[in-house]
Amino acid sequence: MPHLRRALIACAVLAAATLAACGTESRGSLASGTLRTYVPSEMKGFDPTQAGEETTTTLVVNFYDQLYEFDYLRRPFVLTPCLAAAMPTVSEDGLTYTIPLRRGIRFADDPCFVTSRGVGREMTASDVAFCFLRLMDAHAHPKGSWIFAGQIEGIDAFAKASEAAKKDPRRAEYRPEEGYPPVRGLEVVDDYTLRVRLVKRYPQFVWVLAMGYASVYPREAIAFYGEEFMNHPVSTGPYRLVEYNPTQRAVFARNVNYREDLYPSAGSPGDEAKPWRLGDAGRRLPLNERVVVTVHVETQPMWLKFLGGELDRAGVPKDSFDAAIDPSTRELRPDMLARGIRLEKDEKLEVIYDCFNMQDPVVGQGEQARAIRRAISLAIDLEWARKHLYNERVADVQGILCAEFPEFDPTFVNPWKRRPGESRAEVLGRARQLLADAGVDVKRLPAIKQDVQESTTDRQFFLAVQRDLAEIGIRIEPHTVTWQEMQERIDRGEAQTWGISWGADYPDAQNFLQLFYGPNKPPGPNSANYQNPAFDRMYEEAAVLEPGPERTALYRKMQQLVVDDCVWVFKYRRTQYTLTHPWLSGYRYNDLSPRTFKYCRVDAAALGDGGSGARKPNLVPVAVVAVAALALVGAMVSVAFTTKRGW
Amino acid sequence: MTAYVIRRLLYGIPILLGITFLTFLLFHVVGGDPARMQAGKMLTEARLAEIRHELGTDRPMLDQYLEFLRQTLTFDFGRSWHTHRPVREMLLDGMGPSLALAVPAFFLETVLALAFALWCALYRGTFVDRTIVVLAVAGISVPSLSYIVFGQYYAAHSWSLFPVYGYEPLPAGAVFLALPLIIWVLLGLGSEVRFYRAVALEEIQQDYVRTAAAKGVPARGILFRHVLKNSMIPVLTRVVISIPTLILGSLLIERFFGIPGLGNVTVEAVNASDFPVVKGFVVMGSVLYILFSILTDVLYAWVDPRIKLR
Repeated sequence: MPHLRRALIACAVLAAATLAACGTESRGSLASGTLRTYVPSEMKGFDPTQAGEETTTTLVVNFYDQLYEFDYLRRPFVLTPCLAAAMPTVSEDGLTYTIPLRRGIRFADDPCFVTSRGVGREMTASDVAFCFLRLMDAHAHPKGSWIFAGQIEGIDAFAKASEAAKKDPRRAEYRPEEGYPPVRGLEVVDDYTLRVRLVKRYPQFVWVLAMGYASVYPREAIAFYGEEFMNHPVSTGPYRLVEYNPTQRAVFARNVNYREDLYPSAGSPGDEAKPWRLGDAGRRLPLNERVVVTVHVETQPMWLKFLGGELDRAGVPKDSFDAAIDPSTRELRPDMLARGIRLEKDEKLEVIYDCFNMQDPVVGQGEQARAIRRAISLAIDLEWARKHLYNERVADVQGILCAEFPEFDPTFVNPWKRRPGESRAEVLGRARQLLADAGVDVKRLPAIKQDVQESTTDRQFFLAVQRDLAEIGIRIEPHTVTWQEMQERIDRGEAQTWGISWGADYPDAQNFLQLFYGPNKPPGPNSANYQNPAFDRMYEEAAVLEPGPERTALYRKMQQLVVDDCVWVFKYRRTQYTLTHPWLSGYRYNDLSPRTFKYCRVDAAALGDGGSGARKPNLVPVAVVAVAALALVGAMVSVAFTTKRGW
Repeated sequence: MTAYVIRRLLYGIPILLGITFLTFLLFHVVGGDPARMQAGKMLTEARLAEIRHELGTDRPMLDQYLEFLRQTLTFDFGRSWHTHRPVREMLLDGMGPSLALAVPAFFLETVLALAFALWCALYRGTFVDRTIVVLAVAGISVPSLSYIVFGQYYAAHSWSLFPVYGYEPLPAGAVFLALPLIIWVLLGLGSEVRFYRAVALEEIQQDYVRTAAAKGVPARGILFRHVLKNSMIPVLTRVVISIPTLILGSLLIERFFGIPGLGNVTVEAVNASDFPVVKGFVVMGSVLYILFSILTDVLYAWVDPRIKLR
């Protein structure tokens, strides 16, 4: 019996701990002036060379400064100087960029500054040059070396030499005697001037200087932390990292050395009517003391935390869409409006598409294959999928040139998509006619394989396509793969067709057009392996042109070629639905550079019970459950007492 | 007994070798190219080759496998390819939160399951027994994700009884662990009750039980001094062999409740083809299984004097 007693005591202790947990709430511990936000996957550190996916990019662009940044409020996107003192001076031949740097910018205090006993020093042009070189160092496993590769004089030789050089994670200088050739194209003119010489014109160069890859950090941090640098970042940015657990959360505190940086005073048309957009114009940044970034891989807890006021902003998860948005008006439901929650919609700069392997004998090569691609493009019922699979949160795209690009042609119509007013029967008739004209006998056509990733959503999309194509007699079967397997099948030319999307890295259509450039074939970004010499010639011609009528004409011709060849089924671009609580001001969605933390202000007065204290537990359902359980146990005990036991 | 333990430990070496070989084979044959995961958006064949060289995946297979064995011996798996954190540190950091949740949950689940099982056995075939069995079967039939999703939605969000999400080290973090703990117990209780009930029923029908009852031993004494003690072999087998899984974490619960345990770390590693972390996890799990299976045998001999370890 003593064992039983001890077990009962242990149960009682655990039960007491459980009960003690009831009714308590974590969010009360967060002081006002704390922005509470989230990232959708485990954090992989703060090394700018790794800023290739959403979570790392979010952390990097908010923590570090780059030479230039996107104007926070203006759309279409424009750049403004950040660490640079002004926009670069470009030589007449377009090959030399002279970038003046701001004076007096200091790194945050950190133990890595050994000689100054932890006091952050001034940032200079040599820091920028060092960071650019590290982005090309093979031993740093950079994901973003492509932004400079083949563009800056001597940078490719440096990158090649770095492979052979001795690996040293604490390398804070790239000396010729250690096997690193000097890079002629990166010249530190003086502490406040950097000169970059390009191999050829690169009109997107200034855009890439605003990307997270081009962040600036002190070489002392690399020397001091080595491989741990990604967990101990140091920057000139608005915050210091004070707590970090990659699978749980990161906490930032204001960097007292942060430069004078002001909230913008002008925005896009319509922003004047939104007090939460321009209400802090001219205020010094950052507008919060702390930022808590929580990892939310699953959407339900993120959504519940937002509803409970523990997160200041949230996207709308697919499964919670109807709970937040009225399907008839596509606006917030009254209960959300009553709480002062705001909804903002922003179209993402991306294209969602189905891609064909252009080297495949069935769907890629020859006139019949082109007819099959066009027929497939016509037969897929995008309108049905938009309504039923995307909650109508996607917008139609006709081609590769999005409306944000100056080269966009509003009159352009993709002939291989359903026309406005065209019935489903008519569009299917067109598809069947195309196949018949090309002499395609669909009965003899082998089943086309589509690579489908292992998720319910991907399966749903596939089943819709399968149903649509059956209406024109084309059979399509799934080939279930992981994302990685799919990429490898694409590289080997084994995949026939697959669904995918491309998000822009910078607001220039070249970033999309490169996906059709022949030399970029797999494993490069031209995963369709589209080989069209006419397209390649135009691409090379346009790649060195500044925006203007000549480039616009070329971009449009290239778009016409890929649409005529129907390399992709052009489907949609998503609309980002963002919800913010009334106490949050200053949030502005930007899918190219999610640098929002420093602009967000949490109004302690408006926060109310959204974050100030414990929520009152609702004990009624608990009581109901407890009474039911007690009644059941009571019945069982009473039966037990009246039952005669037989051994 | 010492000789037995040493012999069992030596048997563990070929088992571990087999596991490392299988893991290596699976990773290299079935798993994808990790260089792809490292490379980012804009790829070239040359860039992929560079990354493979940096990761060492272009070296001969035998070299790579020998390196794996060296790492197994030293339990030093280097750094994660993905997060660049030392693997040992990642595993040790994750172990604490996993155990903070799993140990009390497992203890509570086992105690409750045994109590219900003995109650069922004592009143077998009656309303009590049938009710518990029906509830246990119903509990098993509900998908585990439902417990988590509905538990979080109602108990944490709607009724505000617990925090929705988060983790702090104990003792301050007890509030965050309470709901995951209850869900863990509910998730496992059904199958545990069914198993222990079957064990207890088999024991309660033995002749010695009837003899004890005929001699006038009270029900309490029969149950705890005779039935429970003689049921300990299958109970021990189940309990001890489950312990390594506690250390390795519970993926879904950790993910939904934001507990930075090993379950999360491992799944991220598998998804990202982060072989150093996968290796560390597999080796740690295998060593724990070997050690705890030896411990189970030792405990058999301790519980049942008829068993001799030779």
